[in-house]
Amino acid sequence: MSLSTTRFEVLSFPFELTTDDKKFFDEFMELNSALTLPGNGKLPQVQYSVIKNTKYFCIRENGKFRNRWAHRWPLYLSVMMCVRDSLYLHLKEYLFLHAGALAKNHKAVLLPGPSGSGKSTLTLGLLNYGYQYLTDEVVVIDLAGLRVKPFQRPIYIYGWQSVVSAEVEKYFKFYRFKERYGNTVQPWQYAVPQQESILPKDTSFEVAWIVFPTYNETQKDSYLKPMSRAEAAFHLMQNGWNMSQFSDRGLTVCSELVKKADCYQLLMGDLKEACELIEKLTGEATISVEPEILNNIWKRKVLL
Amino acid sequence: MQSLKKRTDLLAEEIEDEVVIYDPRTHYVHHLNPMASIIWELFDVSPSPKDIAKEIVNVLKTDLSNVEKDVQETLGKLQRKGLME
Repeated sequence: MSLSTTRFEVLSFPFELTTDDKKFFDEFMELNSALTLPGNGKLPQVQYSVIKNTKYFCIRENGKFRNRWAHRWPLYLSVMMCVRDSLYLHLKEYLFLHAGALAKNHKAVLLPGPSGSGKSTLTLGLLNYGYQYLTDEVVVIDLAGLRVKPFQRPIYIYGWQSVVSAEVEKYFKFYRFKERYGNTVQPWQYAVPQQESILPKDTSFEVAWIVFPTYNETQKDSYLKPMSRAEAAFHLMQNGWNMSQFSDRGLTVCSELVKKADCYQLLMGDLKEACELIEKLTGEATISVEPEILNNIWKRKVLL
Repeated sequence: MQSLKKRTDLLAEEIEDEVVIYDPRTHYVHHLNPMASIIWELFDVSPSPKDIAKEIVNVLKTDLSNVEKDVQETLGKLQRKGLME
């Protein structure tokens, strides 16, 4: 058995990963290419290991058992969820929000919401409208200037169908694989940002719009409703990943964020309309997107 | 109702005439609508529901009895949410 240990850094958090499974290690490196940097000599704050025994891959954090999987496919997500929990615990200079985020003309639109609200779907849809991908799940607010930093984790998509236009496709690499659920096998893909779409780690964006999506399958159209800034601050706090670390400062930070942004609720019954509403909001000319691409995201529910 | 007091450990932010309150004891966040926000603010001037109602009537030119009832209900809600004790 040969073990390999590598050091990484996400934001300013150094960690170490040890594994005896080369295939997992290669996959981890590829999927993380836009999110992590190689370790820069700092001592790791947390050590993770993925070691295969006769039946399972066991994930440990500082030697303590965290999870085990019979298959390789959930390992990446599972390890990164451990890393994410550590970020929330250790990095006090950032507020983490449960939100998608995209940028255009150096300004960011945040899409906060709980699972199932449609934020990842909307994030994926908006990529087709010329927005830069910042994150689909974890918004990082740098407390020093209340700006958003990129957290370009791979987007986890159900099915192998095309979800971005040919123009956008070149900015992502798609890793396709199948998961076994009992007797059925389901296809998935990760969209990993590539080359020009990978933002330098010191990039940050002003938060200009905060849009809270609400997915409604009974509704046929989509519309935006202005939201009071107080209500937006309240909802932002409810979508904080590490709000309990901040005590009363969290409210101050959220209040400052909403005061600088225009806040809306987006009632979403149609993805194309929803994307176009946001596009108008951010003041850009309409880009024509093939309906089939958006239908692949929306009708096949690739992320919900 | 007369002996109610705002909890001193709460953090409240007024954002465009609406109040958001963070409760460090429970980590809950509360958003008060505009009327509840006025009542929350006026409570610092006088804790009497009657006085608060009079103040609101002076501004809104509405019926005192209805407002007083609303004030009492709102203060009751704030108490039930643990923001007053």
